[in-house]
Amino acid sequence: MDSISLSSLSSLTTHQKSSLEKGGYKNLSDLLLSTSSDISRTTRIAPLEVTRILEAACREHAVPINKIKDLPMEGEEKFTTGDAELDSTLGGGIRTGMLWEIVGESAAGKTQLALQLSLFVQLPSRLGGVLGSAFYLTVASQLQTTRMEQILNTHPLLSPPLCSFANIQHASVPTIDKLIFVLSKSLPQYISANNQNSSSRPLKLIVIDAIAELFHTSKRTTTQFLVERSRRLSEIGMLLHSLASKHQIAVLVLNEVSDTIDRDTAPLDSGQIGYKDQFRWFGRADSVLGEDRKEATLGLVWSNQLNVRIFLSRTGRRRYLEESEQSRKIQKSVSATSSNISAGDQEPVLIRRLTVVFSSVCDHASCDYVVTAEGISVIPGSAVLLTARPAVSTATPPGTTHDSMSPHGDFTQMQKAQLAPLDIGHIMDSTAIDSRYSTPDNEPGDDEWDAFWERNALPECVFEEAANLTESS
Amino acid sequence: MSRNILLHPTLPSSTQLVLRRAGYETLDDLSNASAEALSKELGIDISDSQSIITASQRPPGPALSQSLASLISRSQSLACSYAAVNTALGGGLPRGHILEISGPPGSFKETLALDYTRIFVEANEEVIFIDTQNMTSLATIKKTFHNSSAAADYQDLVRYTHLHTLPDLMLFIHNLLSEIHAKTGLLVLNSISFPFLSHPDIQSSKRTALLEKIHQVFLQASALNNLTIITTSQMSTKLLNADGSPGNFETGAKAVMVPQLGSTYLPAGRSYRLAIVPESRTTGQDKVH
Repeated sequence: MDSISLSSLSSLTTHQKSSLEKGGYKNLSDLLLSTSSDISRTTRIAPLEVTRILEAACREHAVPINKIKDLPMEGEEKFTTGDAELDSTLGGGIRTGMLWEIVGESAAGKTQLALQLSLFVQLPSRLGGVLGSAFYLTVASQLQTTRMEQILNTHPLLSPPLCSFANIQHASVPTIDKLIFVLSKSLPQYISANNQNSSSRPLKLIVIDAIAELFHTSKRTTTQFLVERSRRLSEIGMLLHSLASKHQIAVLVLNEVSDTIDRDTAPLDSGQIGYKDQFRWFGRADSVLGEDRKEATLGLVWSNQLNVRIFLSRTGRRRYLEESEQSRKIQKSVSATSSNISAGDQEPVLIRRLTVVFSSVCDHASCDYVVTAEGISVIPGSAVLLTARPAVSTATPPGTTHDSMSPHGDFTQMQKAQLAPLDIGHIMDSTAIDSRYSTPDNEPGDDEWDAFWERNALPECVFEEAANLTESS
Repeated sequence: MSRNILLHPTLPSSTQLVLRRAGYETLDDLSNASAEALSKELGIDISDSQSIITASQRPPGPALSQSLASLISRSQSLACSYAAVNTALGGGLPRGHILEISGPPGSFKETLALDYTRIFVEANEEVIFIDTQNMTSLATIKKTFHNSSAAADYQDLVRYTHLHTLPDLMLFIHNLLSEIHAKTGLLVLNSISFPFLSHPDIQSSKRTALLEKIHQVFLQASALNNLTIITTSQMSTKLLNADGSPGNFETGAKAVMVPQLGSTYLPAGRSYRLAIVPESRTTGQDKVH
């Protein structure tokens, strides 16, 4: 909600406004997030009057909910990735007004794809673009301008007058606070200035490379710290979605992976939904052998934010490409990079895998790709649909045990439940922790905790939870 | 046989409530009412009020006349395209009830909410659709109605807006009862959990109070205005000991997933909680509690 000051409301009397101000309420959002009894207590206004004030203020600023026929269309605008098969796998290209994630190991091609998209967004619509500009935010790396130049000069659809670096803004966001500042203040200002300038292009792509770098956690971490981090991640997600929908921008976030470690977990009662069980469906890809050795980081908290998750894997496969499978561009770059190739000879090409793990706009699908001088190229004909409409059955009646979990013996020998660190920070009962709003990026120096950790060294992947988390309800 | 409206077997409970609120205690009160006056007073269609009067004059019995059937149809359960969901709900989603659909990312929560939207629009009723995290764009809605009989009408019957933050959600909740009218059949909040993430530092007591406000408004809208409400929700992690009590790692607790908001906001007795649990890439289960 944009700041709506209470003093500007015409439905309140002067007396009411001054009482509210004395009670510490400045904006409409302050009122909306408090209870009637709290407001009554701090402003000394009778509860019945508080209710009337609230209702009047809400009516005054009611947001009209229009019929679809009176709204401009949204969600159909998309730009090409530069590869027709990839576009088709993604539901027509990269749609604006959504939050996309590209997750994968380093050197799988994440940054390649992001650079490629920063160029393709600029193309005119007759060539598959949206005549837009891009804003590229880097956390720990540098913007790879050389590589971008190579793509620009090599890809047949791109050419210098149509795309240029002038249409790609860059900013460095090395800390969480900096990113939040850019998303909440700098970008809205930039967009608004852009809109007023009739000759400038609309911002249509925001890239964050890479969000995981902001949230690297170390061994010694308190639950309080993780709670704080988890909340900041949710805040970032909200800012991204607001920008995406308000200005119909495609937001592309790059994420990292960690090794998948399958541990035995406690058996579930019927009706319980296991975290570890479920994580493999939305946190990993498993369309080919070896693809599920890695899983996305930042846990359920971040996964919940996404509209689309695209998983890039190296998988270590190599293939000899048939003549028919090679498009002209792959042949060209293979022969350009290997020096000893004769006419009939071929080197096997490193094949990578792209899987759409979940998406609100396309089906769950997979394809093979290679990285060439032009960027990412999908091997023609390799796209595989992994599921169409889901087949659903009703739950087994209570009393039967959950099928996929095999019972284990001694609880005390059980491996500790393995959660992504930021999901520890978002555990249901821990919402009872009221944390301070701003926390420095360094770990909080809590002496008691330091001493505790010194006595109890933890293995790498286990996190202890703070004592005394009680359920509030 | 009692002439008390509330005990009349052929009038649906939602109609009984509306009549009670308007001051009609017994069937005798209705005997002097005309269909026009009744329809004005209750804010319902003439055909519906005629049906009420017919129903009240008829001795209660197993056979239902045609005019009653039209009234009943406005109060029936709604069956969606997924047989398993209908089964889990005991046949269908009853009108004037609230359904929360939760599940991990990639479960078809939003698709299911759209399915119900289509059903209401095809019955010529208005739907209010709130999207909070860009899951269901206008293009997606258009695609949903592509092959529907209501392809020409949905743009007139569906009202749509985005909201992302908690104050925006509360503003909407405060204004909900003034936004709906007789023709509004369904409210979809997709997802209701997302706005609570915009103010993660809010104290839990305040959060609970806001959830209680939502509860209060939902109860009013569903009971008095016969509004059906569908919310989708993301999930959070919860650590449970073997006995089901909240646990921590030291006790070897297991990590389970639960709907993010808890049940505070759902009026008891008229709410369903459906959890969609993928078991593999393509199949899953629905659990209702």
